[in-house]
Amino acid sequence: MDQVRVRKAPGGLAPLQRESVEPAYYHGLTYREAAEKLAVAEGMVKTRIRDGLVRLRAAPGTH
Amino acid sequence: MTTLDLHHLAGAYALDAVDDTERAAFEAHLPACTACDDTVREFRVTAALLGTAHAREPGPTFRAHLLDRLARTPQLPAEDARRPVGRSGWAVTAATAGVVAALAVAIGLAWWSGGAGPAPVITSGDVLGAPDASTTQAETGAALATATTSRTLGAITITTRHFPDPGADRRYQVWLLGGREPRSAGLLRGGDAVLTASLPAGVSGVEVTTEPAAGSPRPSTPPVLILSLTS
Repeated sequence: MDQVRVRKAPGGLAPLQRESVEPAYYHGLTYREAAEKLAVAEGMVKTRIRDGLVRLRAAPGTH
Repeated sequence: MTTLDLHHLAGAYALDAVDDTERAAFEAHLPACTACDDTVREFRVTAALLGTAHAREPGPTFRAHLLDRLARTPQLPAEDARRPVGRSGWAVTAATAGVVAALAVAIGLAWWSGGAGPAPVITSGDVLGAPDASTTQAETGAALATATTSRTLGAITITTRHFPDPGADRRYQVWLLGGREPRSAGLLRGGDAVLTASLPAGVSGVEVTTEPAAGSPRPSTPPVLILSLTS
């Protein structure tokens, strides 16, 4: 009893994906704001957020 | 904004990382694009999982503690009796209790099967005390949700603590995941509450969304929290 299964934090993300997902998710920035903060192109952040979510979806960690 | 741009916006939209103009454009695009609609739905579930990253394991005394609470807590009135659920005719009674002390109140919960009359009553106490009870917890912010399942009883008890006020005329709606579509298990107010529902085979997770006070036939907002159930 008292087994627990939890989802993994986004540790499975590539660094660039995590760098894009985290400001948006944890800090409430828009992707444009995240791009400005990271000094990269907006489109790149947008793509990395998407790719990061795809990756998390594909490998939802459990246990 | 081109359609291609909009497709690429799905991730940022799911994380609410778009500005108002983009949000409006994307939401205008969604009804016409099944692919984006599906993608956003999946992304939101994924995003909600990020919110459960701090889920923690209940201590060995957790269930004993709940049972102790149960023994010492007076019964409170159920809020939300008899919500028919799902397409297969199974129905549950959901109940909420408004205070911490009511964490595991012995609320009588009746099962109806296809209108054939009352079936055995299973309470939250039955579930928490079942020999095969299995508990999962997740927290997001200050809010904590616990799901205890008993496969032999075919029932699940969900307790919530410190859930923020969902807003005027809003409730938290609990959904059982794993079938073809989410099935409602009932409604909860903010704060602390408990709900027991039948647990069909194949249910592997629970999600909580905010919905109108009367409930919604399907989730209409991103989940605030997701629990993955042990099998």
